[in-house]
Amino acid sequence: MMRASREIRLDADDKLTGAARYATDLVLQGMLVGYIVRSDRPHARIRSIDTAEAESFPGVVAIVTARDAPGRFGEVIKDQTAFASDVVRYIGEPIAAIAADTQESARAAAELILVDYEDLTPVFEPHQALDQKAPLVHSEWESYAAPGVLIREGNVCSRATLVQGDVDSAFQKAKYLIEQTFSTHSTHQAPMETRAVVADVDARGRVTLHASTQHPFGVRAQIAEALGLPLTDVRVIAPHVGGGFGSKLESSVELYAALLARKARLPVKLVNSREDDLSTGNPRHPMTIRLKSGLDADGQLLAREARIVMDGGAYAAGSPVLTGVAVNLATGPYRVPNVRVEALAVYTNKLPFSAYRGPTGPQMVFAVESHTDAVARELGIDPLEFRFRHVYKDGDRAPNGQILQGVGLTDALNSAAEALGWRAKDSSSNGLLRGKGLSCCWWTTTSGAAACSIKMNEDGTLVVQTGATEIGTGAVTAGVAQIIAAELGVELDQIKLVSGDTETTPYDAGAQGSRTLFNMGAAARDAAVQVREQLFQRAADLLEAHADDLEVERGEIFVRGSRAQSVSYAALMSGAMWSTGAVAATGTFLAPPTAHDAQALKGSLYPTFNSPSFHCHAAEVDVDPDTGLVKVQRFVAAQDVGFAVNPTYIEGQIQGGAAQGIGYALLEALHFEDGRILNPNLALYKLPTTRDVPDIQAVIVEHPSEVGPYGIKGVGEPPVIASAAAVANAVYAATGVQITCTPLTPERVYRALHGEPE
Amino acid sequence: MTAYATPRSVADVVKLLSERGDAAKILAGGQSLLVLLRQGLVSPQILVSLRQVTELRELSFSQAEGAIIGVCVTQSQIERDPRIRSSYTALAEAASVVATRQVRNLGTIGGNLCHADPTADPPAALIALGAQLEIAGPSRTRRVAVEAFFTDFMEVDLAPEEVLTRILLPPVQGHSGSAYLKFRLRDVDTALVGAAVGLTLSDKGEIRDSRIGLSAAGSTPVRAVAAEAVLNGSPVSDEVIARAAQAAAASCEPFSDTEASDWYRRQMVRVFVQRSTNQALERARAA
Repeated sequence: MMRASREIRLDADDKLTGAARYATDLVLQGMLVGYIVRSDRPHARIRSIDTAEAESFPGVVAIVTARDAPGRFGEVIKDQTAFASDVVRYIGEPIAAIAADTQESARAAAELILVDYEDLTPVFEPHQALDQKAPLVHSEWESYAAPGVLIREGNVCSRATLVQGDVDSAFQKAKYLIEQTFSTHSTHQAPMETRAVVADVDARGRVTLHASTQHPFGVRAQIAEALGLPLTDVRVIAPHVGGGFGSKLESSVELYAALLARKARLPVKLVNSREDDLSTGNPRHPMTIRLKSGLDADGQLLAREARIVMDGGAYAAGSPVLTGVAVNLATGPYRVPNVRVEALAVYTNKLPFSAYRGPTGPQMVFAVESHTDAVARELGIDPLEFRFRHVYKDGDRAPNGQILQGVGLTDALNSAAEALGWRAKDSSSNGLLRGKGLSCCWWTTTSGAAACSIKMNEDGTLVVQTGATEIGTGAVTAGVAQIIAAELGVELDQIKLVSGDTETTPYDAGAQGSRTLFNMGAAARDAAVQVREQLFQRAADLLEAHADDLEVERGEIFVRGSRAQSVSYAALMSGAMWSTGAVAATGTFLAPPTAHDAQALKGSLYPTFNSPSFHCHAAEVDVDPDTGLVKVQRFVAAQDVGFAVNPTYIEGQIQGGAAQGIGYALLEALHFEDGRILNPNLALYKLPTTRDVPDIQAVIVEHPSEVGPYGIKGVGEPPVIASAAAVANAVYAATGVQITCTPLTPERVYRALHGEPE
Repeated sequence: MTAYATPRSVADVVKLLSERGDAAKILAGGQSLLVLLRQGLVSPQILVSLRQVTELRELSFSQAEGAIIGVCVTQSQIERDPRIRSSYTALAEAASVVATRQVRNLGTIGGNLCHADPTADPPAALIALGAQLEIAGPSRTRRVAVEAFFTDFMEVDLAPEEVLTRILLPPVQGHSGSAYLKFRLRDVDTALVGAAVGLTLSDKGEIRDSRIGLSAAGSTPVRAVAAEAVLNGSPVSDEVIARAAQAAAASCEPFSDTEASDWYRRQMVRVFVQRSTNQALERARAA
C-alpha cells in the first residue's frame, strides 16, 4: 500500500557526515589535471592557433584543439563543436584544453598558447541581432542539422507560435485593452558543487567519466556524437552530485576531460573554479515579453497577445525547446479564448543561455502575473478575485488544445491566500511600506523514458538499479525507494540503490523537467509489481493459497485475513538459487503523449504541459521608501503535487525553490558588459543567504494526475517559478508603483518611486 | 615559496620590514591578505605575522587619554567591548557589521585599516570619532589623523618599513554620541554606502565638534567636512540635518559598479547621513 510517509532518505547519513563522495573527491592513479583555454573575444575569426610552445612546457602531457574534435553536436540544433575552430562566438568559448601534472603547469602553459584573432563585429542584444543588417552569429546556420519542425532564420534559432481563436476581432470587441512590456535578467544556477569530472581511459580509448551530472545518458550521447564513438565506448557514472538546477544537463567539462584522457591515455580530472562555473555556464535566458490583453465589460479575459524574445546566446543549446515552453505560459493558468503568441530565441555573442530550473518559467510568470495584477487594477477587481474568476478548472481546454484534469489551482490559491492572511489589513511601521502579492502558474511534468531493475538477493534484501540521478531532491533516494518498499512490503533499509550509471543501470532521460519520480516512480512500481508477483507465486505453493489472496508486510507474506501462516522473503530466497531460481525484473515507463491541437502550434518542440501541476505563491514585503530596499517578511508557496510520496522532501523542494525565486526577484543577477560577465564570483553575484529569506510556508495540495503513479505530478522546478511575480505584486501593493524589470534592486525600486529613469 | 616570520615585538617587526622592504607583507588576521594571496594579486617573499606581538593586542581606556586600541584587536572584541559600545558606539556598530561572524573573529581593526578598502566599515567610524593612528618606523614613531591615512584607492600613508601599531581615540565628554549605519543588500555584503556620525551637544543645545565619515562614497574612506560645517554651531533641527546630509551627498565622489550607480550611492549618502545624525543625536541627548 502506497502511503505518504516522511521516511529519511537513503543518502542522508553519507551526506550529513561528509562520507558521501563527489566527482571532485575522486583520485585515480597517475591522474592529470585538465584545464580549458578560453576565448577572450566575443566574436572573432581565428587565423591560427599555435600550441607548440605550450606543448613543450614542463608538466604538460596533452593539448587538444578543434583538430582533435571536429564533430558537430548540439542538444537540438547541431551548431556546436567542442572547440572554436574557425570563429569564436562568445567570451569564454573553449579554444583548447590542456592536461598537465598540476593546475599550475596547465595554467602557465595556457598563457603560451598563441591565438591569432581577427575581430568580427559582435552583436550582444537580441533586438540588435533581429535587425536585418545585423551580423550573423552563425553565417552557416542553414547547413546545421536540426529537427524539421523548427522555424529558423538567420539569428533566430527558433520561432514558436501558438494561435487560437481570433485575437484581432476580440481586441475590437474588448472594453478594456492593457498592453505592457517586461524585461528580465539572467541568473546562474549556483549549485554547491561546481561542474566536475574525472575521466578514466582504457587501452582501446574507451572512457569512463565520473561526472557531476544530472543526465548521465544524455552526456554519454553527446560525447559519443561529438567524438564519433559508439555508445559502448563512453561510460558515464554520476556519483553523489552536489546540485545542478539545469547547469549539469549537457556535457561541459566531461567532453574536454574525455578528449584529454583519450589523448594522454591517462586519467584526467577537470573541476571548474567558481569563476569558470559562473562565467561559462548556461544561465537563465534574459527575456523581453510584451503582453496585450483584451477584456469585456464584465471583466472577462477575451484575448491575449504575446511576443517573447529570448536571448539565446552564441549556441542554441536548449533554446529551441524552450520557445515551445514559453508560448504555453503566455496566458498563465487562466481561461482565454483568443490567443496569439510568438516566441523567438535569438543568437547573440554572449555565452549560451539554457536550462535553469523551470526554464522560461520565472521570466514568463513574472511578466504574466505582474500583468494579471495590472489588468485586475484596471478593472478595479481584487487580484485574488480576478484570479478566482479565470483560473483553470477540471475539463478546461488550454490554448494548445490540451484538456486539463486534476486541476488543483483553486485550492492552491485559497490555501496560499488564507495562510498569508490576504484579507487582513496591512500594518506598516518604522516608515516602511507593507504590501501583499499573489502569483499563480501552471507547469509541466516532462516525460521521457525511464527504466528500473530490481533484484532480490539470496537473503531477501533488494538491489535496485535505476538510471535516474539523485541530484539532491530525494526523488531517487527517498521517492523511488519508498515506492519499491511500499509495493514489496519491506522497510527502506532493505534496499540498496545503484543509480546513474550508463552501463550498470537501465535508461533514464535525466534529472530534468520535474520528471524523476513521475517517470522513474512508474518504472519502479512496474518492476516491483513484477517481483512481487514472482514471489507471491512461490509463496502461494508453500502457503497453499492463491497468489491473488496474498499480502506482504515487513517482508512476511501471508494469506489476506489470516496471519497464522506466513513465509518471509528471506525464507523464500534461502536455497532458491538451486531450486526455484533467481528473482529479478525490469520495469519501464514512457508517458503517453498528451492530446492537443497540433494546428494551433508552429515550430514547437514542447507542445503540451504533460500532467500539469498548479501553483500559487503569496508574499508580504516591506519596502523602505527612502532606499528602495525590499524585504520579504512572509512567504507562502502552495503547490499541487498530485500525491505527496514524501512530504518532507517536497516541502524542502518548495522552500529551496522559493528561496531561489526570491533571490531572482531581488538579489541575483549576472551583469554583462560587451559580452563579458562582470561579476563571476559569489561576493558580487548575490545569492540569498539564510538572513535574506524568511521562513517559507510550504502548503501541499493534492489533485491526482491520471498518468502519474499514485497520481503524482512533477515537483522540482515549479517552486522557483512564481516567486518573483508574487514579490513584485507585493511591492506594487506596498508602494503603488509597478516595476516591469527584474531584479527589483533597491536602486531600481528607488528610481521607480522617485520617477527617475534608469 | 613564501617565508613566514613571527617576530615578538614591534621593534623586531620594524627590523624585519627594514631588511626586506617591499618583499614583506604584514599578516594580522589574514581576512583581507589571504584573499589577495589566493587570487595572486600579491606575492610577497615573506609574511610577517603579528600573532606573537602581544603589545599590539592592547585595549585600554582612561578618563584623560581616551581609548587605545592595538591593531591586532579583532572586530569581534571591538563589537563586544562594553566600553567601546558605550563611549565609541559608532566603532562598535561598524565592527559588528564587518562581513560575517567568522571573519570578525579573525579579522583585526589594523588589518582592516591597512587594506584600505573604500567600502570598509571601521574607517568611517574612526573618522567620526576623531581617531589618530600611531605608526612605528625605524627612526621614529609618528601619528596621523585617520582620514589622512588613506591616500588613494587601497593605498595608505605607510612606508614599507613602517607598521601601524595603535589607534588612539580621544576621551568622550559631555553630551556626546556617535552612530554608524551601513546600507547593504545582504548582511554579508560590503557597504553599498555607510555613514558614521560623531557629535556633541552644547549646553545651549547646539551641535559642536561633529565629524562625519563615509564608506563606499569615494575611492577612499571619506570625511564629509562640508556636512560637518553645516552641523557645527547649529541648533538641532530636521532642516539642518537635511542640509548637512545634502552637503555630504554633494561633496562626495561615489563610484558605479554592478550593485549600484554613483547617482544612487549619492542619494543613499544623503539618506544615511541623515539617519546616522539622528541616531547620534539621540545618543548625545541620553549621554
